[in-house]
Amino acid sequence: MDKTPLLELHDVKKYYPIKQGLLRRQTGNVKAVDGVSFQVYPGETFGLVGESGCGKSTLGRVIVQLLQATAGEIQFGKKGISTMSAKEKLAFKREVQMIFQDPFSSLNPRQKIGDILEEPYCIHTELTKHERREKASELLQKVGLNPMHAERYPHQFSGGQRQRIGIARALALNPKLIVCDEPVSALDVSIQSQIINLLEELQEETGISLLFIAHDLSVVKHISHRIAVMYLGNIVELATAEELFTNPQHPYTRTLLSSIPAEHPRKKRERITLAGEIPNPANPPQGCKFHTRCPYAEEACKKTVPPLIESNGHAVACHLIQ
Amino acid sequence: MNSRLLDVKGLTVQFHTPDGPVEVVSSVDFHVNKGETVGLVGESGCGKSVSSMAIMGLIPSPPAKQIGGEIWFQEKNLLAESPDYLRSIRGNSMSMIFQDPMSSLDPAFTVGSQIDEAMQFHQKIAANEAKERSIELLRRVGISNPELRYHEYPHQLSGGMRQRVMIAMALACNPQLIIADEPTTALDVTVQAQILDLLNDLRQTFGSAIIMITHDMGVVAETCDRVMVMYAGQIVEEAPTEVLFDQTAHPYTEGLLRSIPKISGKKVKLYSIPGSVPLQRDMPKGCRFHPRCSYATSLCQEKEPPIQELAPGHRVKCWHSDQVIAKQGGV
Amino acid sequence: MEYVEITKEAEKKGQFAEQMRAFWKVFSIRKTAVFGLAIVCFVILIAILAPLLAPFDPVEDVDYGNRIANPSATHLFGTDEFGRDIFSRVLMGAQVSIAISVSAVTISAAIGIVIGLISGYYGRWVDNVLMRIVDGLMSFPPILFAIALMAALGNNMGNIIVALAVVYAPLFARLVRGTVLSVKNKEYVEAIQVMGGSHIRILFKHILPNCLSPLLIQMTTYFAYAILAEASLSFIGLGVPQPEPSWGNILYDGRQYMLEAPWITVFPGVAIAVTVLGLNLLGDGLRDYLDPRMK
Repeated sequence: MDKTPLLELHDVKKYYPIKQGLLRRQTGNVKAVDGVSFQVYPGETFGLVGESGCGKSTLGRVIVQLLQATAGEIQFGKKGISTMSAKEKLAFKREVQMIFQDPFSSLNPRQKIGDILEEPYCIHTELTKHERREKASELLQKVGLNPMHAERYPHQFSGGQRQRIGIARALALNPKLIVCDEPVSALDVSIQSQIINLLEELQEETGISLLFIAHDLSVVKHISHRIAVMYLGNIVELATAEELFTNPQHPYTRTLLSSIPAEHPRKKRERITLAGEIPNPANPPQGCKFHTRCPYAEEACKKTVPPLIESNGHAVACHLIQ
Repeated sequence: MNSRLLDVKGLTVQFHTPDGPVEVVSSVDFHVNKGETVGLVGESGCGKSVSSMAIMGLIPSPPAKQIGGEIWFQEKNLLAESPDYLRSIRGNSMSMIFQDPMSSLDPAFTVGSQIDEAMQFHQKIAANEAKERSIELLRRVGISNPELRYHEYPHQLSGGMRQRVMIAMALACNPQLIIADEPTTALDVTVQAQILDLLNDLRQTFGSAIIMITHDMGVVAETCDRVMVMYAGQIVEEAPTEVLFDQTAHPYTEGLLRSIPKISGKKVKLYSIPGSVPLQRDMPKGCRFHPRCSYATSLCQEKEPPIQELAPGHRVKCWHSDQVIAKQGGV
Repeated sequence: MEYVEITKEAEKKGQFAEQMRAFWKVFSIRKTAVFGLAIVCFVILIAILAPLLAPFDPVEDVDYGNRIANPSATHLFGTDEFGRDIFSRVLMGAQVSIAISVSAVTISAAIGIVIGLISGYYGRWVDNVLMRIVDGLMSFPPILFAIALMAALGNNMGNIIVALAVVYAPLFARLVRGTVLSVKNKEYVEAIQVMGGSHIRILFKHILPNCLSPLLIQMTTYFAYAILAEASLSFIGLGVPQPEPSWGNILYDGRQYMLEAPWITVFPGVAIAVTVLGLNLLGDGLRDYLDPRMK
């Protein structure tokens, strides 16, 4: 694998102000993403897992610039996003695309499939109507749909087919990175595997990088090369998929893995049950954010935030592991 | 004494749509024994939710409906009983847990009063007794500080807690049958694990039978004694859970099991069932699964397979189940 | 490639006919909606053909010998105090009333779209300023507001349209803004933003088309309101100036003879009631059709 990262995040933060009272004065912040750093390499699938409210989707939206980061730096191909000129920004928007979770709201119900797929070319190229149509029909074939479908409207398709259309739209401009935000969680099991296979095939074919955001650990494990586990806006563990699942270090990762339902009725796992609920991100615990629910928490965990320390490509943020 | 709690015979549900009548459930037979957990597995639109709603007598009337068959529960055919009778058993000897706990709890009332209501309606007990029992129930479903939570509103609770409250409500009248419609789908993994453990635990203490409606084979493996797999409005395979996993006899079940990514073991390309679920109005002739099936022959295209009993309790609706089983032996 | 050819073919064949067929299939389920549509079509047809259908000139043909006459074979709906034929006046009144209602509602919807789009899409202080103005306008009771405007502007047909447009525009602006707010965070809009689509593209290709259905339903209802409002204004003498007939001022003329000659007021009254009923039934039908859950 190429060793120059395609995407680099340095201590990226996204805070939402909490405004209260008559004068809407800011009284605090919801720290949705609270200092995240990682790299995505060309041709790699980078998985981002965590439970709802851990900030993984917010982070995905910050990367594609739907949201502005509060602090930190995102570099794409060695260029910081915040320092990009308008022209470079447009080029960035060509090279980074997104696939959304909900196949029902990700396609404009009033546009024909053909028009949806032509739109990227309208924005970024000077192709004629005829050329655009041909491109659209190629895209449909690429994702396993019939080119004739271009004449139909989104409501005429099933969830899985719509997700294919969403993928086709993301592929239109030959991007280098696609951020996939829970792309299969709204789909049925048998359709899920079709979409996962499609993404894998497309990656093999084009060498595209994927940032795969999901809460389903088995799906993430299957598709990703490296995986980061998030808890309350921070990465608590980052390792290759194989390593993370065979040798999980952080207590939270272990809990997550033990919660996956059994694959077979005779292979039920020994479960680690967590105490309590995920704390409010507006008022996260001091020190290690996981200490309130961690079965191994010590005094140190309540005071200082453990840094994410890497050894042999396996990074963990826990005082007890160092 | 009959150990069968619920016996569904030839259940058929039709909806009327602008494009003509659509059969969502086609002559489905199954039963539930006392105290057992039965999984009803299938993908969206396979008729699993509609079947359970029919059992509860809760199918909404427009779109106009037509329900055929028999549903025997406590020696009575529910389809022939009056709405009043159905109301008297709903929430009483039969109750339901829904997928989305937020929309099935009334935001205008406290959690406690909603649990009380079911008890007071069906069992005519005094308000303070109902309250005591509600608090006890909340404690039983693992809610800390139940006296305090009793007075809280649904929006003050997290998703997992709300689902616990729903379970407490379902248990309020010691039901003999609980229908759990995707009870953990909306929850996070760690919370899902907690709720599944809770259900397993309660089943032992309360002795209620559970129909677990789900699309997740993992949930089935965790909780069910017996499984029924539905496809396009029909039950295609029925077996004790372990048998279903070990000796899968229907190609659709096989496909479902193989398309789930495995946590353990080496990465292999995922199996996927080609195509998608057929629309009800253009159901294929013969076996409904044949256009997506790798075992399909001309026989499958012409004749609908009968339900065969391979072993006690293991029934399958496929012409080629022997090949499906043989293939697993070979792998 | 072949699909390019085929689509050209399909376009020729008339996509519109196809869409209309699909529309009719769902719409025709509701019999009341079909009935409403029939009424509305009938009234519009009458309004258009009024000059041909009217047996007399509604203003010039004054039959002095036959004032306040009962309905008869010559004067189907009777005559008024000047001996003018009520039937002809109601027919021509349809033209005037409908023209006023359609123009007023169309103009107010257009203003509403512009304000609503800007307000909903740009948000922040733009939204605050525009919406406070809208709130201010909406705080007047609509009919009083219209009366005040008419009193200030003077009564002629153009001014009624202006007055009603000003009264209704804030309502449309609120409606459009609401829809924009719900549409602008949809994932298909985000997808275009990720791709780098311009604001203009997002507003006009994605947000606006999705705002049109609720707008259309609202417009149907307001056509009915506008007809009623015009009638009310004319009834108090602030509407269409005499002797031009509109449903409202025929009522106004007849009000003194309500007991002796009820036909002067009954027939335009029935015309108003039937039209409003038709529009409301049509509006309900459209709402059902355009509701995405029906699909």
